[in-house]
Amino acid sequence: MPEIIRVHDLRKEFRRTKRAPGPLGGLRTLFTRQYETTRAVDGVSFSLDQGELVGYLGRNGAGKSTTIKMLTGILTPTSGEVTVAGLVPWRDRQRNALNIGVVFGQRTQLWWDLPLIESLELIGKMYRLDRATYRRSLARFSELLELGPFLRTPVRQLSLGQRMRGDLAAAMLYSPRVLYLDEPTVGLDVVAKERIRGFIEQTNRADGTTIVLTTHDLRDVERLCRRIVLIEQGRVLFDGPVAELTARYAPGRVLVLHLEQETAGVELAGAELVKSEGPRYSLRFDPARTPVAGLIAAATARYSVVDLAIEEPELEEVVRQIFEERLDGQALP
Amino acid sequence: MTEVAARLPGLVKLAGLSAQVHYAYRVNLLLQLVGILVQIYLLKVVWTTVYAGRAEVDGVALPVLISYLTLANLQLWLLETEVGRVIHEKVREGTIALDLARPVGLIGQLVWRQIGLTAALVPFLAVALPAALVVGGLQLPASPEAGALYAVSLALGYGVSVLIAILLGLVVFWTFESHGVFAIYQFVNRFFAGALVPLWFFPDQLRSVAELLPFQTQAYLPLSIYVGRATGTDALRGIAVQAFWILALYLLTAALWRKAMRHVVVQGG
Repeated sequence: MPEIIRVHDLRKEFRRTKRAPGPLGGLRTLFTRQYETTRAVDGVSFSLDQGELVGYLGRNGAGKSTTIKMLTGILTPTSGEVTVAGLVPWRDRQRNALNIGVVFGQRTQLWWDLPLIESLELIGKMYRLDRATYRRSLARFSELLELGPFLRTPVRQLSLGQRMRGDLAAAMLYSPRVLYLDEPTVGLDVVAKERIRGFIEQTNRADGTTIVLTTHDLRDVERLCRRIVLIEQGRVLFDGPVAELTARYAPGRVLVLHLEQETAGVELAGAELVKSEGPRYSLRFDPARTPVAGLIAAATARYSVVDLAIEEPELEEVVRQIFEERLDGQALP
Repeated sequence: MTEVAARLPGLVKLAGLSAQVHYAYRVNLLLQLVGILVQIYLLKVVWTTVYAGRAEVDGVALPVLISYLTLANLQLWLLETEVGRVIHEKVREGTIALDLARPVGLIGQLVWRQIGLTAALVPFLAVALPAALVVGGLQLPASPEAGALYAVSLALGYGVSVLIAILLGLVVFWTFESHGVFAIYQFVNRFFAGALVPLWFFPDQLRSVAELLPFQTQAYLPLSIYVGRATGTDALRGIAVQAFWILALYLLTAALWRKAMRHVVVQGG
């Protein structure tokens, strides 16, 4: 597959005026020329082939959104190269816009006070769809995302999940070649998340849309991405298949047991006690070697369990682990 | 040209949505209108007292002056630009990112949004004009030509108003704060536009200052034509001044916009 996105040695520095301290600080700031520079993206390189679905991951403030904004042309890089479908986004922002769709999970591009259909019609006209293409596309996404019941409802009355489906339709209506999804599942319940994931998968598979997905939810990644690019402090920490990352770093699952009373020496075969807080005990295990059902059976047989839960590893935890390893001087893949 | 034609349907639709949203706040708009009518009434009372029974002051008859003030205040209400505040909100909330990722430039989007906002006010003229006739006073334009030139001049004044609003809105990119700027602008604009006191009653020095500023284009220049104080070359000179301001403000906006784009810091992660 031909290359569609190329990022080479990309950097972005933000220069902010330093606010002078003291009661008149705001005023004095106007006259001082002191700046502090922060480097949000610090030499990032990767390239994507057409039709890839890549997870672009990192902790808060790692530089994910800044990279996405440079890919969409909203931000001008301090140095380095970006090309998307043959265009340099920041130089050719409006032409680039015709090739890309963007969804920011925390914000909406829909018109809050108006029925959803109005926003979609605006998108159709702005992205220069002729009437027939617009109707066909609207019908298709209405069906895929089940928009029918609320097409004529004002956006402010929609649930978060419905709004997100509306935003996805708005981003895909003109069949962009590249789709940037910045936390598309944030704040959604399990059912809504699953529906969004299904749509993303379908879009990637059926339309061949190249998708860059930013998320904090490891389940999004496991379900959707074959490859991930992980960044930390503005640099690429890991770029490779998801399976490799989870196999090497995901610290298994954690079984949390809430017992009737504090018990000394809680232990189960195939699991390791990692934390205890009063009568709550956390045991880490590898589900590939220790089946969940057996572990739970063993736990309930041995202890009087009030409540239990299986927790999955958080991305933050994985990143922290990799980061610490790097500090220890171990080689990265 | 084909590029422009390709963008137009989207921009027109944008204006349509913007009008719909604005119209939804019609109670608010009506209240503003009541405020304007009160102001027109008070101006009439004050100026009638100032005239103290004299038919003319400096060659201006009282009904002409009242007609001028009535239209001036209605005009400022109709032409009031919200788009600066729109930029402010978008920058603060970070939704500007989405507008920047469009196949149409942000300045174009803002201009058409404002056209929509203004269009939403037009139906209110059906109430506003008769009411203004009662609380203030309205005369027909001095002549048919004056009426036609007034329409041209009003349109140019609108252009100046929109450009100033965008210019002030762009300041947010540097300060992240602009409520104060808008408040000052509103006051300065009202006064120097000649909506409270026509420029011909200003003391000479103040008048020279007012004539150097762009605000006179929004009330004083079009209305001098309307009431027949500026005719022939005077009227055309007024229109030329407005055209100059449109060009100058456009160039300034474009330059500031390029700078803003390099500077842009989109709020939030």
